[in-house]
Amino acid sequence: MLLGQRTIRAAVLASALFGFQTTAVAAVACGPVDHTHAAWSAILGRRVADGRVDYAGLARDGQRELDAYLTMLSGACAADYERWTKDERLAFWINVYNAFTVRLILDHYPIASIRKIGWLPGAAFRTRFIPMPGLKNDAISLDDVEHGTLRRAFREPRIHFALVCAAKSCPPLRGEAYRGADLDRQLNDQARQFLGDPAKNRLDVQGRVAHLSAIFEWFREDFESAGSTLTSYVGRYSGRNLDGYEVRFLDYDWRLNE
Amino acid sequence: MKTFLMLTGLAGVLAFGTACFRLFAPSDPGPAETRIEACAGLSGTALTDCERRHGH
Repeated sequence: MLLGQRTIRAAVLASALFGFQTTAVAAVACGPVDHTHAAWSAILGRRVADGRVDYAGLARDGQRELDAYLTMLSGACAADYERWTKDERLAFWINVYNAFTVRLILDHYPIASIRKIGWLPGAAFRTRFIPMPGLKNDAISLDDVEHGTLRRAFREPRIHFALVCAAKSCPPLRGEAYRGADLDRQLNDQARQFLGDPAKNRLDVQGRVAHLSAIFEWFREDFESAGSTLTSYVGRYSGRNLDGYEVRFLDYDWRLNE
Repeated sequence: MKTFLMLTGLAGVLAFGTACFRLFAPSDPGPAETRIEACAGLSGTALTDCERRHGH
């Protein structure tokens, strides 16, 4: 694989700082993707507890391992991708989003919030720092992964319980990688965990009010396009019938999820 | 000195404008609405090649 770890780090730094596309996608050869994502699971298993990330520990002695995993992801090629199952593709893109988000944070650590990265609002999400030459012929941004790829091509609302944008109000970063073979179970589990965390979603049963994460406001159409109302979708994973509940959305806490 | 400052200022404005342009440019529109499941998530020539391989 010609794409070096140093190249990825340079791409992350340059595009996050300056907000332009890098040319880190130049000379790349395809390589196989490990669908168990064992390397990412090993990192997460050591550095994530209760959804919180030990960025300091990762910065100290986990970066080489992370970069090796990112290099593997960036080396994915279309001819192989076509043979993957749908769940392998979904798991791949979710892991791309989460792992490159961690890389971005590490390159600016210590930092109070992902929103402090870059000069302009939303720079962290819009800068194209993820080399993906084989599948996209280009470098892509976190927004490209979330909106341009996952939401658009897969139409699976449970991704919103798995994508972690490094903020406290995000869903918890899972202590293992997503894997195609286990994806349905993992996404259901994430949905229940996210909805069961009173810091992120609360039900006032007496007052019949559902205080929901802003994620449900931002992506309401995704949840409703799954053939249900927002309350019926939430009810499915919170184990409660929410018909007739008033919905209010909570403020989003963008402080770092450490 | 004045010329130097003007040129430096112009270069700064140009660099800032370029950065803003890249940031506010539309993101990758993502894959077209391909009906071929095997190609879902691909973009650019990777998508075109995939669709060709699958008979479209």
